[in-house]
Amino acid sequence: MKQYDLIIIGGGPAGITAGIYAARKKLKTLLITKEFLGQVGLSWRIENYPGFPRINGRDLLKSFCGHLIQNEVEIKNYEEALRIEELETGFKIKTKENEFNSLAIIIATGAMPKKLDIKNEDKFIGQGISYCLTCDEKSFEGKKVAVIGGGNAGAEAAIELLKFASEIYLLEYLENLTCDEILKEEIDSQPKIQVITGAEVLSFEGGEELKKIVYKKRKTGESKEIDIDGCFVEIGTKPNTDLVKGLIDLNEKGEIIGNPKTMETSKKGIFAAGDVWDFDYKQIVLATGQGALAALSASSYVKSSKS
Amino acid sequence: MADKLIVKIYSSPDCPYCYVVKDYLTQKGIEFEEIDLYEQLEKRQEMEKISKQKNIPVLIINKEVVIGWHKEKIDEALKKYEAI
Repeated sequence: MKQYDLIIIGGGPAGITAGIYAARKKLKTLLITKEFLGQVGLSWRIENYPGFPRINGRDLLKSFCGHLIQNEVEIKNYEEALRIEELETGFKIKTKENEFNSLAIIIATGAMPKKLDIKNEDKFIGQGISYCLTCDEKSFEGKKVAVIGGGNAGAEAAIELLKFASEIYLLEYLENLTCDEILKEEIDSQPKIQVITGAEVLSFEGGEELKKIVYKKRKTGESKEIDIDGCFVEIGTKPNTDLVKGLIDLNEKGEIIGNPKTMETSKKGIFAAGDVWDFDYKQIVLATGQGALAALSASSYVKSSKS
Repeated sequence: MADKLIVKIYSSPDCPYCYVVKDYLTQKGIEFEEIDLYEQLEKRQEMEKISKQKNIPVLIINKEVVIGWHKEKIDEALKKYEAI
């Protein structure tokens, strides 16, 4: 069985950066990932990653991957880590196809788009509801579309939809949009975007296809409906931490908790970085920073384990 | 003998999951025809009829339809036709 110093699980910005840093520390490193994508790969417009004033997520990720492969990191793409077992020294990671041993691990499995978990949400996936703006926006050309979620992702989705949709509704649960001010200004200047705040979405309605959103005004309790043809759900993400449940400590949201100075988790030798970590501001630049920090800490750990 | 393998993907240039599916097929050495729904608008109806829904990517492997990026489902369909 192959033995590594470090196995990184995840192919988003945190995992890729960890790979680059680990290689420069000459750790024998393996990166296992289901795919190179992450939340960054789903972003249509990124304007806050230094060095790239405006870039789409796929191009930024391509650039990250291009940098990674210039380093000595073994990569298992399209392979999913299914289980981690503790050994006397280090850990065993099992995928469907292989087993690998490693002294240290970095969990950088990222997060997936959260669902609303409301009536008829599953029924209308593919019949009007989508979680991937860049995939499906074009199918709503000239149509009425709602975006649920007033954070950055939701606000950016509403702005992007100006290219295609005839009318856009942006619904936010809180009384104010939570996106960056610069996005708020852009939204306010667009008469095609109607912002509805303090709205709790209750259900999706229609026949074969989505036709309506039913929501409640939280202040008054009044129930309202909007006629729509499509809806993008952008209410944040859910951490991909099933792999480490029961092995390391998680918070109530399922995010990994540990020491933010080292990115070490509750289990010695296991580090974590990126959207799986317990922090509020899920940003690419922070994920890459955490990936670097996790790799540097893992490098110190591996060196002290060997000495 | 296994049926001749015909693989088609309905995609768009901005669809990240489409790239993942195409790259995966390429890595497996599977040849496929790409139908770009940005270029060929008229093909959208065909895609919706076959997959009975609107989201992409839609992958057709002979008679099997895989919606979205699902490695296991793609492998299953390719194995069915002895392509992997």
